[in-house]
Amino acid sequence: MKGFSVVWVAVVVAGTGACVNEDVHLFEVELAGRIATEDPSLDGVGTVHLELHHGYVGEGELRRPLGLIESWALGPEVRDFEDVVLVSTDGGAEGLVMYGWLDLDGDGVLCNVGAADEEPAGVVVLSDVPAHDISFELELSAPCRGVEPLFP
Amino acid sequence: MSPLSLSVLVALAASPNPAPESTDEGAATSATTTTTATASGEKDHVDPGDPRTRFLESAPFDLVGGGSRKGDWAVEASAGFPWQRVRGQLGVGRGLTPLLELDSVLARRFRPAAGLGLRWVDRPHVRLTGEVLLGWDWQRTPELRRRGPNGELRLRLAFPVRRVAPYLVAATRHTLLMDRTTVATASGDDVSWSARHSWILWGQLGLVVAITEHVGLDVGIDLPWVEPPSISIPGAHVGVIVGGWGR
Repeated sequence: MKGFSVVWVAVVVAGTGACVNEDVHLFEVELAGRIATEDPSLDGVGTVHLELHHGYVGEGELRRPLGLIESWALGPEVRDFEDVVLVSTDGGAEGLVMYGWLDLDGDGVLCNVGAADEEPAGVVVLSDVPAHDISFELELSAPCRGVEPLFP
Repeated sequence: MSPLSLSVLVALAASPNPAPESTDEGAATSATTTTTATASGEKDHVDPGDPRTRFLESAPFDLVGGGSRKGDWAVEASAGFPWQRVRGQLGVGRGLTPLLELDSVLARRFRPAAGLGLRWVDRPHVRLTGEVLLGWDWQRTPELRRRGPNGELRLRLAFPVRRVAPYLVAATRHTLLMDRTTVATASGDDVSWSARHSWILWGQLGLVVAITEHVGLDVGIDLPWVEPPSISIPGAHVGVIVGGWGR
């Protein structure tokens, strides 16, 4: 009886292992970057919002550019960025793109209606992919532009 | 598995003699039905002198009511939407009935299982059976994989009267689904496993008609509740039951 129980447990464990349901593959990336503005007068002003995107996601007819992975809002006057991100490599995900914009009025919305200032944005394609350590420099020089029109 | 399911499982496995051997149950349920003991110690509700009791131990009633007398067997093949099923059972005495089942959902998901049934209430016109099944969920669609060990606790309640037996089935079905996450780091791959629990509540309401002691027709509606509280669409089935020859 004990032998039967051991065999049964072994069969369940082995069978369970053989029948993986969701098989998720992630790639660890350590990002380090510096954000700059074209206008020197904006150095140290406002809050920088960053978004890390896949270059392309999806397969077949569903393949499309840009897929948001993670976003950050840096502290006031912070222009240096460092973080570790787990990036999915499943579902046709390919490439990495960092997008950022400078929130000058603190409303959390890029160039909201009635905003006095044109908030600069920029994008950089992280060409080191795939690599575990990626550094970048992002210049915010395009006023009021979202990530889609800036993506090359 | 939930504590409630576990406690029912333990109670079912530990129950020493589920079918009460009362001598007056025939009188309690029908003044004209007699119950006699067979050589194996099990009751036989069929009275050769009373044609109205002819089908009380028939294979169709055994199958939907759960449990067969020692040496009796029954097999059902049912087709329906969206569930299909093949089930076979063989009585081994003392109210115990080993059984085999193969469930299918439109040939996209299969659940082969082996189980054991135990008659709890065994009266001429009331049958209550508990069943425990262990099986494997196997869904073929690669985009929605669902494969893992499965356990089910089931109650069958049937009311045989002459040629027909309305029946009710209630079950709770649990599947363990394993997921794997692989993180590629600078120092190598880090693999971790996690488990999800999938739950299906199951209800069935039907009617079996015994054509002979060995052949019957089963019609019913299926009321699965897949992953509560999400809403599931009810189904229906028609089945043919045969068995009991060579007793």
